[in-house]
Amino acid sequence: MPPVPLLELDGIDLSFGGVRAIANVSFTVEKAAICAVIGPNGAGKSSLINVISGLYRPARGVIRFDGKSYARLTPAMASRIGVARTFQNIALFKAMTVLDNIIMGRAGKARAGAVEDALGLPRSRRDEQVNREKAEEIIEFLDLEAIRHVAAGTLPYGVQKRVELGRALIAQPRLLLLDEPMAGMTFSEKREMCRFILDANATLGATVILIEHDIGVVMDLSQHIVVLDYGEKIGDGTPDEIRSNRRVIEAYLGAETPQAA
Amino acid sequence: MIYRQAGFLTADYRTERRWVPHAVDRWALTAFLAFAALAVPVIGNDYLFGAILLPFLALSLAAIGLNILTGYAGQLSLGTTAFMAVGAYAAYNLNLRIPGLPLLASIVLAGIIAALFGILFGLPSLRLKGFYLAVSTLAAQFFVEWALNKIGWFSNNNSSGVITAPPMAILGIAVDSPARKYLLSLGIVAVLTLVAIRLTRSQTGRNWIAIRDREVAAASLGVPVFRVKLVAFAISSFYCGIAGVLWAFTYLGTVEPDGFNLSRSFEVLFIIILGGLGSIRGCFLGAAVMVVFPLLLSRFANAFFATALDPGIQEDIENILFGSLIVLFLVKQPLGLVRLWDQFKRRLETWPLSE
Amino acid sequence: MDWQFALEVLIGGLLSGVMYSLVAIGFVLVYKSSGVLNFAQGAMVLFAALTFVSLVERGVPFALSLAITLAIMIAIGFAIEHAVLRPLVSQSPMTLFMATLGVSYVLEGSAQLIWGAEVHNLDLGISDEPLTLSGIDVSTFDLFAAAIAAAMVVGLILFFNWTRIGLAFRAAANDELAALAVGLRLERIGGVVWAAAGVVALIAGLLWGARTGVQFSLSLTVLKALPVLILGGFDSIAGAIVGGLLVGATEKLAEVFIGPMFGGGIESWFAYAAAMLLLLIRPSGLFGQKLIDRV
Ligand SMILES: Nc1ncnc2c1ncn2[C@@H]1O[C@H](COP(=O)(O)OP(=O)(O)O)[C@@H](O)[C@H]1O
Ligand SMILES: [Mg+2]
Repeated sequence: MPPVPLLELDGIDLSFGGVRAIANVSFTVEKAAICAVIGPNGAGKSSLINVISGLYRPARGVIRFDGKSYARLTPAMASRIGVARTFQNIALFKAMTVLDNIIMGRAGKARAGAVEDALGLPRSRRDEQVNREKAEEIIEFLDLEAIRHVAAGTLPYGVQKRVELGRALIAQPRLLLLDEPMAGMTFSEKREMCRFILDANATLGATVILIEHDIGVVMDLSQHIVVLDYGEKIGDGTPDEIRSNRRVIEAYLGAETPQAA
Repeated sequence: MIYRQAGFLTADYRTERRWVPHAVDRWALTAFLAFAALAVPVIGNDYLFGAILLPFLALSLAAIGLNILTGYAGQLSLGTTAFMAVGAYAAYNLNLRIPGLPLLASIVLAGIIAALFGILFGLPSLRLKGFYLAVSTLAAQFFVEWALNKIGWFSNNNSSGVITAPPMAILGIAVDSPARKYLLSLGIVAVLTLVAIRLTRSQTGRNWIAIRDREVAAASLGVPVFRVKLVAFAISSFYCGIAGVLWAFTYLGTVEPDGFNLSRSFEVLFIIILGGLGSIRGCFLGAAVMVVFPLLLSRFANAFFATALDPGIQEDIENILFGSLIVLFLVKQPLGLVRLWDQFKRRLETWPLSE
Repeated sequence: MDWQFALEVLIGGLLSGVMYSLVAIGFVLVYKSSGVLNFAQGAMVLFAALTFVSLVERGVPFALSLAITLAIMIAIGFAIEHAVLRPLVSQSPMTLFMATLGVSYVLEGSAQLIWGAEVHNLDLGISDEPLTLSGIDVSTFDLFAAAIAAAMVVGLILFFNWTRIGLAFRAAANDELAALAVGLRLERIGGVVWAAAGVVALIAGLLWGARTGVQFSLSLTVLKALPVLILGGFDSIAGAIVGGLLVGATEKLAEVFIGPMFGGGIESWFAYAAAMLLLLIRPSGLFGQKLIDRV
């Protein structure tokens, strides 16, 4: 029997008014894989990630996570079963420090309630101590030591993206969803981000779904690529398969420059 | 040079998370509290307690309550005094109907009743956001005013809904003089302030800020958004309720439902805007301005025109000045007085080494 | 039940609902153009009515008083936009709302400081003889107010559909970036919209003032308008009218038929309770469409 895949999407459909953002999309992501989702702007990539993280509710379709089916996934549920994500338009808590932002990644794991927090009871203190230790590991992993007490909203764009990755990683997710983590970055920032993603995948054991426009990066990082166009899946396979997929070449890469990929 | 950031480095997380990180600040705060608790009751006169310190303490506490809900959790409330009224009338009734209930117990219970009431009016936050939710807090405001006026039971059948503070005592010591009422208020406000600081620095506080700054992101990090909002409503109302008790029992002595009207709710909102949204210290700075400013204005008018201002005119001038201050702060210093204070302190820290 | 009486109450309610709509329309204008919930609209109503009535009482001719007040309200509209809203552009809706709350205090304080706090009678020269239509009494004044409101709405529609600045406003309300891209001067539009809100406040102030006397409570018309806006949506003029009628009618019916059960006085919160109930069923109001937050 083949191993159970971490994520299976089965016939997902999602519309906004008249716009069909996702049209009957199904695919599978194996455990410990890095899977890239590509496609032109408006293809439905972000919507797909929003569905997997429970923010959008699909009209039809089933999400299977580690063998269990979910017809109505909520954000809280998604976080509980081990899904963490970053956002295309950075969604950090601007007024909080980098440290607090990263600690927020463990919000779903808090054991103390408000009364315990108010009175500073042992469980609250222990939460706080553990949070801080884990956050410090992430800060070290992502080279954020120098800015841990700086308000996140004041940081440069590229650094904010890194902080957001940290906030997702601290939850030790089984599935990490990255929505254009390298958009707008310089070449060296991109290289750094690639290293972080590969490390997270290899040492922290997170399965990764990555949306990225830089085809070079996609081909280097991922073992598996899914191509969307106008909400439909038009390609699904290894980088080599995608490179030679006629529909993908026509729709996405542009018919005249297949080798540009 | 006595006040130097460079000397402040921490070796462990516990030290870093101290409430007042600087040793100098810590000393200053301790000395200040000792002065407030030991010296002020001796040297203060009835005017100081009755006209300044008692309303100041009650308003500061109400402001902390509102700041938790609006400044930290980002849920705009226009019904602060509804929750204060619930607290005041609850304490009055607890005292009246349960003979022998200790004063502090009735105050805490009144806070809890206000908290339950807050949860009730926070329930719409499951589906409503922003202005829509603010309007629901307005509904609370009008409903409470109406109910306290119309339903005689709440005021022991007083025809105009007026209640009068019962004789108060703690452990057999009568709380009857202004100085003793001041000490009672000070004690309650000090303890609740420390609790509030603790809360805002804990995961509960981070969750509040998170849903204020980016609710969607908070939700997908596993923050139970609705529960966090309800907790904010409950704790905020708890604070406002107890502030209402202090307002009625220690400051005014006798209150009517109309004393808890919409203008007073706005007054508390102004306190947190002036003091600083999302800052506990700011509540005290804002409340100080709110209490002292009108007094100064009338003193000034007395000195200047050699007669007392007509109270209506005084109020008009106050409204114009407060309204302008609000706009000025929102435009120029949205982080409020507390930010100005911190900037001043930073100057001191680095002086004279930098500009 | 006495149907004739019920009908009379209903019509009275609908007509007083028109008065609510008048205030609500002022809100909608500003909200639509800039996303600001302008709490100062009520204070503007007070300021306008008080200025007008004080001028008339000092012997200034009716028409001249109207012209002066109109000019003042337009100036105030521009001034608020320029001094308060423009520096706060791109701030959160909550901040903007709080700023307008500050503005309302300034306006209320100045109105009463300049003109005094007495109650003034305002006579617009419209008789308030009840008109009897097939056995049902209707207030002539209310009919007049409804006619003015209708004229004002027609005026606004013409303004927005036929004048350059009106079209620019609609473009900006639809898509600010696109409007900028084709070279519309958004600041000018903002000023004009606030001035228009000032004019609407004047009309509302005259009608309300003639009905209830010119006094501080005019400022509280803002509290009547909020449930109307909740029902009708913050950004629809049609919604403001329907919402106003709805609130006026249910409020009067409830006051007459349900109120006595509670000892009266329920109109202070009834409209709010009704609006809340509706919101719990339809979170985006009667006409709003359901939007899903983009992420
Ligand atoms: N919250 C939303 N409301 C309305 N339409 C949306 C929303 N989110 C996405 N869409 C629409 O769905 C389509 C897919 O968008 P998106 O998933 O963001 O594409 P991509 O990330 O591939 O660029 C687009 O037409 C977009 O306008
Ligand atoms: Mg996208």
